[in-house]
Amino acid sequence: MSATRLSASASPAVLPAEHQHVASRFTFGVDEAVVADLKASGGWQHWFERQLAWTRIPDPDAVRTPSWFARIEDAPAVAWSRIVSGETSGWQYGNDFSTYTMARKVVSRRQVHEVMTDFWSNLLYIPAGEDRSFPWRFSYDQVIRTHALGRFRMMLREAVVHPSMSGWLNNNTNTKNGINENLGRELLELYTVGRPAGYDENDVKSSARILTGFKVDIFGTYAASYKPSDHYVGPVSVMGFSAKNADPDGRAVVNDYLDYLARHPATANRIARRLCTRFVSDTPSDAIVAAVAKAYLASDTDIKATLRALVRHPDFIASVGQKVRTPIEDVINTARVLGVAPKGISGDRSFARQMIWMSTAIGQQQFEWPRPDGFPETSSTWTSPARLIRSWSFHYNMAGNWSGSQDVTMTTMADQMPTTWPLTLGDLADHQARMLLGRPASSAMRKAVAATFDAPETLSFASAAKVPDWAWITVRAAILNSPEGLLR
Amino acid sequence: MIDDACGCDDYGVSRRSILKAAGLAALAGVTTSMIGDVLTSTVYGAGEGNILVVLSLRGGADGLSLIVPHAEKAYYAARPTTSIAASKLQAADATFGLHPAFAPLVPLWKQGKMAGLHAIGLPSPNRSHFEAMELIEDADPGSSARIGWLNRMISGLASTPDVFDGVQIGSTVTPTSLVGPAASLSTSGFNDLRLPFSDNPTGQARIASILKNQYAAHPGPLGAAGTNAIALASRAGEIDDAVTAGSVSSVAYPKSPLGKALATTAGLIRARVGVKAVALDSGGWDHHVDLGWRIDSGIADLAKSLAAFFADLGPDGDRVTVVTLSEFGRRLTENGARGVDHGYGNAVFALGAGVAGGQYYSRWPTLGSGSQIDGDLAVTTDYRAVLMEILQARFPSLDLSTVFPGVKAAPLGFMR
Repeated sequence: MSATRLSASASPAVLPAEHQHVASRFTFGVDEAVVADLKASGGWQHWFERQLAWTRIPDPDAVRTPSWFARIEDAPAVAWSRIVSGETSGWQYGNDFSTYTMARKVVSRRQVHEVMTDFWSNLLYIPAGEDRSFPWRFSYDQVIRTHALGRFRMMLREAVVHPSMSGWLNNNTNTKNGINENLGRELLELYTVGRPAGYDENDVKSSARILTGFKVDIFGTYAASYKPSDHYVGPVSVMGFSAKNADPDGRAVVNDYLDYLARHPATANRIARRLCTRFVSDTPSDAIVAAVAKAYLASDTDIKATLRALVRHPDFIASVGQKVRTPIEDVINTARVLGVAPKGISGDRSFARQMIWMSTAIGQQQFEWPRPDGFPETSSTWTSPARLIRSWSFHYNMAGNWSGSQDVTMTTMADQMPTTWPLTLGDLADHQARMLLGRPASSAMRKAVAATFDAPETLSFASAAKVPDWAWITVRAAILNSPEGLLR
Repeated sequence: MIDDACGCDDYGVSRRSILKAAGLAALAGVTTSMIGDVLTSTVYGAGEGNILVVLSLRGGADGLSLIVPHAEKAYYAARPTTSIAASKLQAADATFGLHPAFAPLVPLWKQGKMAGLHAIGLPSPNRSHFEAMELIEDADPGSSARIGWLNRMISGLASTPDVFDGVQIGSTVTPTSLVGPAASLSTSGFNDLRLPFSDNPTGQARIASILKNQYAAHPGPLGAAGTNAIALASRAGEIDDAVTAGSVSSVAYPKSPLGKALATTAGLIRARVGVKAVALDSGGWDHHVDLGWRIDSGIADLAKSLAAFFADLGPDGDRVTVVTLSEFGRRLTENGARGVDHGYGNAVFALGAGVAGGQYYSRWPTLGSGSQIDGDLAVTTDYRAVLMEILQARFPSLDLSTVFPGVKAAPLGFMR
């Protein structure tokens, strides 16, 4: 840690409130690197633009994370052969993939890209480790990552017909001789227009017919192919989209159909509302939803343009304090602000692996939502009494490294402390509120920290060495456990 | 020393078991209001009341496999690879029979403690998983307020509902049925609901006091949740002890999520904290592919888990009624993958206290082509009528017009 570390000051400089807000909503945790990037960029709008241009941000640590896992990039046929031989399990593939996803969120410098990858992975949701989809799951993730800040239309084209999706929602069994409606229905309901758009059962049947012909050799080689002889031929019509669909190779019709859905005003509204629910509040105004939907349509589904409209709307800046972190966000944020980062995998005590059970213990496990609709985007879902108790315990655990994490980078206690002494208990509370929450300590936080020690705020420490480690752990956990510590 | 060692002032009733566990002497010095609350709850005997367990079969269970209409030629014609021969069914009568995997529940059926209901569902078809679940669990289509029917039920049974009145077991996400103004709890267990420093009562009490003050001063749902969390944590330890103590008999639950959730539910009932409604999920009923073996293993888990649950409850089973619900049935005709797509009318089971079991109840619409709704079994009984019949029998003080506003339906007669 360099001598110019932020924490060296007894009163570390905090970002202007608007900067802190944007960074808090669009990163997995405002750590020292994010603070430095924001300070260097001359305004949060510039920082946001640089983050949108994600391919220009060097990110070697994140790019290396797949290499921690021996099998994560296995070809589908190889993955299944390892299951058949008993060498490993689909569950293990899923667990590796979820662990990789969590680790990458902590270490990546492309934080806006990570956040949006998470958002789209939750909209076009496929769990990890599910039998019919897991051999292609990492490949599917690459599709989401490629388009996470690109065009929704192009992401939809690749995601809907991806072999992982075909397996998950049974499209590989959807043929002209036996229609399987699963993917055709969820495409309308979850991925694009949504139920209020008012499609009927005939629309669903046509939707499924358009998607016939895509094959995956599930429980075999998992080879993906297109079989024109399985494709339904004949006129199809879905919500104003119609096609003669006369060619046994229906893939051109599929692309036209997906483009039509992506550009549909109902899709624009649905995606805009979901974005606003993630980034603004559980109950966004119709005005901001309309502004975001308008930008989405005007830009031909360009995600960057859509996000710009969101952050520039006055409702966004006014929404401070409206969102609570999910358990997964809590784990990632706590690691980042405490200066704890995974750096590899050697066993079950590797921090990357521990993060999975840490968030599970609070109440959410990466890619373990059981249904195709993804985790709820509403904060109210995660604001239960039971969740808070578990988060409070987790913050003590992390502040004290009580899990004995391995394969991890941690800032030493000396490097977390200010260099100017003496300081009072109230000063230490303020120092850590600035470092961990990006804001000065409120009087309630100072009182809370003092009360935890059953001591006055004016209790003075002559030097860093006079602060016992248990006391330091307690200060940090008390700050993270304040209501403000749970807000995103 | 904090001023309220319990921190329970938001939850005024049913601390009976805690009182029992702690012993009266341990309460000396605690504020009088708490003593008053405890005495009140003892008078009302909150821990000995009736309990409704709502088991949601998530994904849309195939009612035509759960209760097979074996007298219908149309069933066998529409399902060349997935129908079940009449000779294999359990507890069959002239029209219906249970799927063979229900064997572990046949003793309960024969004792008259389990009834099968058919052609049940929403008043109009909805083949979306998520929308159908929302409709079923909100159960008040005329209102835009997001309040679930179980929340309305617990609100109707107490002027100040307790956090343990309505509990979701097995998931940390609150189901729509429990969402609403009455506090409720969603958890997998109780061992992880204690505050930090459980080995240091002084430190733990200090942290409870600090967090309570901080969250009480914070506006909105987060502040309220924090305040409730302190009250919850103060009681979680005793409940966990009751849950982990296990039952007197040696009952073997399946090691499935449902088996674990029902074992925890039995412990919660034994703990006598006054729970009135428990919501449980059983996932994996969305059988678009390979209906045959998949539903066989799903029903086997369901039947073994419920059989273990009632064996575990013993005499407490006389207070507990279980009802199964699923968002919709499946299409009559199987699809191209030996599965069945989303349909409409469905089967429901009622088990336990008050059930006039050992038989089937249905205004059976038949599967004739003129009787189907868009290729599906029709609905002849609103699912809310089924729930009302149970509530009427087991919670007679409840004003049903507030739980299911505007519903008028003739009972099927499956409750005593």
